[in-house]
Amino acid sequence: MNERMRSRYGRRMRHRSRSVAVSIALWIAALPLVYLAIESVLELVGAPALWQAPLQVIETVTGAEALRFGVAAAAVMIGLVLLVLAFAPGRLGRHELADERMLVVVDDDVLAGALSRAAASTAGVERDRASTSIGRRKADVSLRPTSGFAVSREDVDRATERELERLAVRPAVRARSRIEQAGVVGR
Amino acid sequence: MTRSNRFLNRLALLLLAVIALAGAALLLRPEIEQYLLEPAGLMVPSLGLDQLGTILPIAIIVLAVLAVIVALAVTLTRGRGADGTAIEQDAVSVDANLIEGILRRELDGEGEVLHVRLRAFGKKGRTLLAEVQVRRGADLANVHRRVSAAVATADELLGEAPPVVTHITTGLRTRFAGSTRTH
Amino acid sequence: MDGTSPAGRVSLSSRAIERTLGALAAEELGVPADTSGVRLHDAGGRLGVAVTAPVALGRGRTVLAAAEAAQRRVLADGPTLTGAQISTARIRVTGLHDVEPRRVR
Repeated sequence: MNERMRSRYGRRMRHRSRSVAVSIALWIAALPLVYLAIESVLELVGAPALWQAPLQVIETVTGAEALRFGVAAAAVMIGLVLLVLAFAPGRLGRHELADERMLVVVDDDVLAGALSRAAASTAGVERDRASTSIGRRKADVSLRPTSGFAVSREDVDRATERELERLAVRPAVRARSRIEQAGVVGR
Repeated sequence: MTRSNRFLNRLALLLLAVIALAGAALLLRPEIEQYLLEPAGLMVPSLGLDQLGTILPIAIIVLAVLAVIVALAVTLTRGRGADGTAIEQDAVSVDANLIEGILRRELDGEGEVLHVRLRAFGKKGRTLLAEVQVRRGADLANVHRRVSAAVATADELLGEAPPVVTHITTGLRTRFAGSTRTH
Repeated sequence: MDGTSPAGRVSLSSRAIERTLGALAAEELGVPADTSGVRLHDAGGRLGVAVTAPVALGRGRTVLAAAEAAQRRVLADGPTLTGAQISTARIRVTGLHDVEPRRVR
């Protein structure tokens, strides 16, 4: 796997494809046209309309204020949603791990779990007392200590940083930890 | 992972957005003229929908047929990304099942790995996509090391090292970027 | 079965040809004959062969090497055994036949 493939697939894996949105939007655009086309065909062959002849449909919609504003508002909403979809990065919560043989992409919840694990084992507490939230470039680790047993924040920071280094996460993530004020009485 | 062109997807969405907004503007024409254009001293020529008369139905039919053809084409060609042929050469091909079997066997007994699935994508020269589902709170570095070893074994048994994309997941739907809080 | 019978041409049923070629490929792949499947198609008047079978590895042989050997074997020995002119042969390997864990380091 060469560098070009690696960066291309990495980008693809870390961003959502818009193909579903494109399909749905195309059908939403096509359906009113199909309806009008059916009315047009019925009018051309002289058959009775399903609802109204195409020109009348347009007149009915533009005639009644409420209907006109309603349809216009729906169109504006759809237009804005499509604009956001077209320009938003569509980034997924995933990171890459350095690897020579292959491209490794990992979901952020797996990465967060690994950091919580490192933090908890350094602090000597149960795994479920550490929790981690991950953004693109930083991770916040928070830990509930055991009452009566102080936990050094520096130690936890070092442990999570070491874990991140070991994994060689890309884009690089910086971890910051927080020891909660309230502890939990140990067994 | 799909093969559809991502730039074209953006362009299509932008185009459809413009059409939707233009439609809205057409419907809101009286208001736009009254509040935006007339104060600015601009006049808009009439569109003359009424004069279109007999052409309109035919124009609508043509547009509808085009819209359905485009929508069908895009829907049907979408997401044909991955399938079950891992290696495709002139005379021989290898099922993804075979490689999936090797990875499963190598990762079996690894308590943190729950499931392995392998598919392949790409037109010329296939790329393997290995989905490795792990337990929550798994030792990620260890999983990574084990998967690397399993892939190395697969390379050796195959006699070739095809491009591999490994996706490590908990099997939950991947959220959009943003904060994910996990124990 | 003798392809050069003096009585003239021996014509095998397509089913018999399939079984023969399947067994041939299976032997080269190191698996039982009944694990292979064969589909025949016309290739410009000659025979095109598509074999589907698992592979048993051993003696340090790789999947691709075994598949290529099976393909060559069908092209080389197939015509003699069946009397058919074979123009193309494709092998599709579906899985590993040996089930006991093997470790390669």
